[in-house]
Amino acid sequence: MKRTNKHSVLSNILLIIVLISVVFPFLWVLVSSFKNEADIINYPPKMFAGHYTLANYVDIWKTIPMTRYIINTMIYAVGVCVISITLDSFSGYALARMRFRGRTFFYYVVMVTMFIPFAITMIPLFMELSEFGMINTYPGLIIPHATTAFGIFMMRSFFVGLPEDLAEAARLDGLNEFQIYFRIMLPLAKPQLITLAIFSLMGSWNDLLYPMLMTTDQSMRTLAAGLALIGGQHITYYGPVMAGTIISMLPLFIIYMFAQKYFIQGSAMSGMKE
Amino acid sequence: MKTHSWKKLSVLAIAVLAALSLTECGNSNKSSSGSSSKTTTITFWNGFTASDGTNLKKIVADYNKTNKDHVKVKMDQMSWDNFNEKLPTAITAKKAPDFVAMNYGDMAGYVHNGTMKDMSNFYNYKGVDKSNFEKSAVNMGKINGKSYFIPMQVQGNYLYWNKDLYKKAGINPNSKVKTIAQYMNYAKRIKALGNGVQGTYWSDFAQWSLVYGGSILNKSETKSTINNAANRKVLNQFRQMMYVEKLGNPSTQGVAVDNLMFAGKLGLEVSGPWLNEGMIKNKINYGVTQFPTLEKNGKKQAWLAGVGFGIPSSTDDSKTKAIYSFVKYWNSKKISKRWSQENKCAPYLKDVAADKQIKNDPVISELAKQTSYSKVMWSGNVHASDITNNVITPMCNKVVTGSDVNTQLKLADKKINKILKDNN
Amino acid sequence: MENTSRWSRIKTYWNQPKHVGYLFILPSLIALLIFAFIPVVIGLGMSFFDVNIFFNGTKFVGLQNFVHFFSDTRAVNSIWHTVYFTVLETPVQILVGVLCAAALARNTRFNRFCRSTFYIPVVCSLTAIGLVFNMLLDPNIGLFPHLLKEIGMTSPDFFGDAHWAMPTIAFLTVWKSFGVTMIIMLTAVQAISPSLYESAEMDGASRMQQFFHVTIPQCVPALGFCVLTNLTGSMQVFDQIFVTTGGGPNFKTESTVQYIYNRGFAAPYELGYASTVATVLFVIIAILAVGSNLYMTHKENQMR
Repeated sequence: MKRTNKHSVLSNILLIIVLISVVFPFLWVLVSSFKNEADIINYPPKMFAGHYTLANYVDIWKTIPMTRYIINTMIYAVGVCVISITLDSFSGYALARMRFRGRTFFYYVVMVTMFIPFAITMIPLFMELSEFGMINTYPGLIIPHATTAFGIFMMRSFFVGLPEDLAEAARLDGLNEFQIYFRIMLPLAKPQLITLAIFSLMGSWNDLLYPMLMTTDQSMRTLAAGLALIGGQHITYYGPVMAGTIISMLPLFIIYMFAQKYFIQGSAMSGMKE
Repeated sequence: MKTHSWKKLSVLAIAVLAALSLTECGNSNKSSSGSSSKTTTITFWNGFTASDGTNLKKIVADYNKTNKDHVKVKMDQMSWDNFNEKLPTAITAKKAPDFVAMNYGDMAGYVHNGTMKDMSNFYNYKGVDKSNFEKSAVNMGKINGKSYFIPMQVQGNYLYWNKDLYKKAGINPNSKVKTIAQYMNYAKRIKALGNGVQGTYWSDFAQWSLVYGGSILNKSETKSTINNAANRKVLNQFRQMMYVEKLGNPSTQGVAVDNLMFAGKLGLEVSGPWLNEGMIKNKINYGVTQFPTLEKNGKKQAWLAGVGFGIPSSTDDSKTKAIYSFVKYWNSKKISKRWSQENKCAPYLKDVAADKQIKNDPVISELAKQTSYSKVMWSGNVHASDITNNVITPMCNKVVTGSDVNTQLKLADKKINKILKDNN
Repeated sequence: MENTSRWSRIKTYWNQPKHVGYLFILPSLIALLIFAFIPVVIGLGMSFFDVNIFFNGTKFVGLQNFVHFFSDTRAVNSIWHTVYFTVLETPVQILVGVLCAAALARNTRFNRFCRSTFYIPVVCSLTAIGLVFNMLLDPNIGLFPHLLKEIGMTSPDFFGDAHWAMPTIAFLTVWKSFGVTMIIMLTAVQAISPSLYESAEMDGASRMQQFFHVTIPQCVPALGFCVLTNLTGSMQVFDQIFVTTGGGPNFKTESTVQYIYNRGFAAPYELGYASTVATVLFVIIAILAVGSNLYMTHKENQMR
C-alpha cells in the first residue's frame, strides 16, 4: 500500500512537470501574439504586457497572402484526404475480403512502399511532376498522395475482422459487389474512415517539404511552407510570426477538440501489428 | 463524439472554405477590373521581402496605374534564398516568371545554363540613354560581352557604427573610422563596456582580401590563389577579433548580428545598404562610412555588387516590349531617385547622383562615394556563388571558432581547385 | 440484343470477387507504381549520372558520384549529424513516452486530461513548433535563457551554439512527438489481458516482477514498432532544422535530407549527385529498418 502511494506521488509529479512544459509554450505564444513588438522584445521578458493589440494579426495578413495560404492548404489537405480514403478503403476491402489470384503478393507490394523514404523519391517525383506539367498545380500536390500504404493497411485490418457471412447474405439478396461495398461495408467502416481521414488531414496540413518543393509561385504555397519561409532575408519580427503560427495551428486544434478520439485512434492503430 | 456533431463540423468547415474563397475571388476581381483586353500582364519575381519589398510594391503599383503601354506587372516576392531555390525549379517545370531581379553573384550560373535572354538591345530601346548609367553598374550585368542583366540596384560593404555606444566608450560619436587598426581599436573599447555589448563581427572575406591586397583566383579565374600571405593576414585578423579577443560571440551569424545592432548592443558592423532601414526603424543613433583602408590615406577599394533585371529564356518574345517598358520606368530619374532615397542605396544613374537632394542626404552621399571606385568581382564566373557559399564562408566560420589558419587556407585552396576543375 | 447480352456477360464476369478485386485495387496500384516504385528506380538510377536541374549536359559518370560522396566532408558530416540527432532523439522520446504511458495507465479523470493534453503537440506542425521554440529560446529576448540567468546560470545560445544546437533540436522533436509513443504504449498496456496478471499473482509474483515478466514482454511488439518508426523518421529529419537553424551554425546541424535539398534545389543544382546522397541514406535506412526488425522479432521469440 505504502509503495503504491509513493509510486503515484512520483508519477503525479512527473505528469505535472510534463503538463506544464507542454502547455506553457502554447500559452506564451498565444499571449505574445497579442503583444506589440516593443513588449515582445522587451528584456527581461514578461508573461503579460500592459496592453494588447490585434496589430500582429493585421500585419501578418498584410505581409503575406494568408487567405491564399489557408485556401491552398485546405484544398491540398481535403483533396488528399477525400481521394486517399476512397482509394485506400477500396484496396483495403479487396485485400481483406475478396479472393483473387496474387492477393498476398499485392498486399506485400503495398506494404513495401510504407518503407520507402521520401528522401529517395523527392527528386524523381519533382522530375515526374515537371514532366507532366503538374508543378505548381493542385493536382500536382494531391495526386501523388492519392493512396498510402498505411491507409490501405488500416482499412484492411478493419475489414478482415468483419464476419464472412455479411457479404454472403447480401449476395443472396442479389446485390452486386459494388453495392455490397457501398451499401453494407462502407457504412460499417465509418469510424475507421473518419480516423483515416483525420490522420491524412493532419499529415497534409502539417507537411512542409513536399508542398514547398512542388510549388513555385507564392500564390500556390501552403501555410506550413509560407510560415517556414516568412523570415525575410535580413529582418525578422516575432509578433507577426507568432500570429501566423497561431493561425496555422488553430484549425487542426479545433478539430482535435471535437474529434479527439479519432486522432488518438489513428496513432494507436499505427502501432498495431498484424 | 456523435455523428451529428461530426456532420455539423464538416458543414462548418465547408462554409469557412466557401467564405474564404469568395473573399479571395472578390479581391482578385477588384484588382483585375481596371485592365482592358489589350493589356499585357507580365510576371516578376524578386527577393525583396523587408521594407524594401514594401517600397518596391508601391512603385510597381504606381507603374501599373500610370503606364501608357498597357502593361501590368504581377509581382511575387520571396527571400533571396528561396528565390534561388524556386527559379531553377520553375524554369525546369516551364513555369518561370516573365522577368526577374537577381543578385549579382547568381547571374553567371543561370546564363551558363542557357536559361537567360540577352538584353543588350534594351540600351537601344527608345528613351533609354546608356551613357546615363554608371559604367561599373552596366558591367555588372555583362557576361561574355552581352548584357544579360540591366541594373536595378547597386550595393557594397559599408561600415555602420552606433553613436551612443561610441559616446559611452569615450569616442567622438562623429569620428569616421579610416583604417582597419582604428576600427579594431574602437571595437575593443566598445566591447570593454561589458553588459552584453559586443564590439564587432567579421564580415565579407572578399572585401577584406581586396583591401589587404590578396586574391582568391588567378587572373584567368582557372586556379585558386587563395593560399597567399595577404589572405593569411585577413584570416588571422578574423581569428584574432573573434576567437582571441572575442569582440563578438562567434556563434551569432547573419540576421542575428543585424538584430544585435538594432537592439543597440553592437558597436560596429560591416553590412549592405539594407541595414539602414532597421536602424531607422529601431531609432538607433548611427553613422555610416566606407570600408576602412589598411594604411592611413590608403587607396579606397571595394567590390561592387547589386541586383539586376533579367529575362528567362522561356519568356515569349512578345512580352519583351512590355518588360522593357517597366525596366525603363525603373531606370528613369524619378523612380531611381525614389528607390535610392527610400532604401538608402547608392545611385548608379548619373542624373540621380547629380541630384541636389541626393547629394545632401548624409547617408546616401556617403554610400555613393563608393560607386566611383568600386569594381566588379569575377564577372561572369559561374562558380562565384559555389565558391563563396561552400568554401569561403565555411572556411571563415572555422577560423573564427579557433581553427588553424594555414590548414583552413590549404583546404580551401584544394576545394576551390576542385570546383573549378570538376565543372569545366 | 447482341449488345445487352455482351453487357450482361461483362457484368457477371466483373461481379465475381476473383475478378472485381483487381478493379478495387487497380487505382491504388497505379498510383503506387507511378509515385513510389518508379521514383525509387529513377532515384537509384540518377545517382550514376551527372545531371543538373536544367538537364543541361547530362552524362553517365558511373560510380564517380559515390567516390565523390566519400571525399565530400559536408555530405559525410550530414550523415553523422543525422545519426547524432537520431541517437539523441529516439531513446529519449521512447523513454518519455513509455514513462508517461506507465504513469497514465489508470483511467482517472486527471489521467485522461493529461493524455489529451500531451497529444496536442502531435497535432501541430513541426514548422509551427520550430518557430515557437525559436522565440522561447532566443538568446536576446527568449524566456528560457532569461529564466536560466535568473537562477544564476549562464544561458547558451541554444540554436546558435554548435554544441547546443542539435540537442536543442532533438529536445523540441521529443516535445512534439512523445505523445505518439505514449498513445501506442498505452494501447498496448491496456490490451494486456488481466488474466495474465492474475495468474502471475497466483504464482506469487510481486508488482515489480509482474511489470518485468508480464507488462514488458507483452509490450515488446509495440515498443519495437515505436523504435522502428522513430529511427526511420529521425533519419529523415528536415522540417524542424529548416525553420530553426537552417543547418547552421557552420553546417553543424545540416541533416542529410537538408543537404540533398540544398545540393539539388539550390546552387549548384546537382540533381544527380543529390540522388547519390539520397541513395546512400536510403541504404542506411533500409539496413536500420531490417536490422531493428530482425532484432525485435528475435527478442520477441526469446521472451515467449
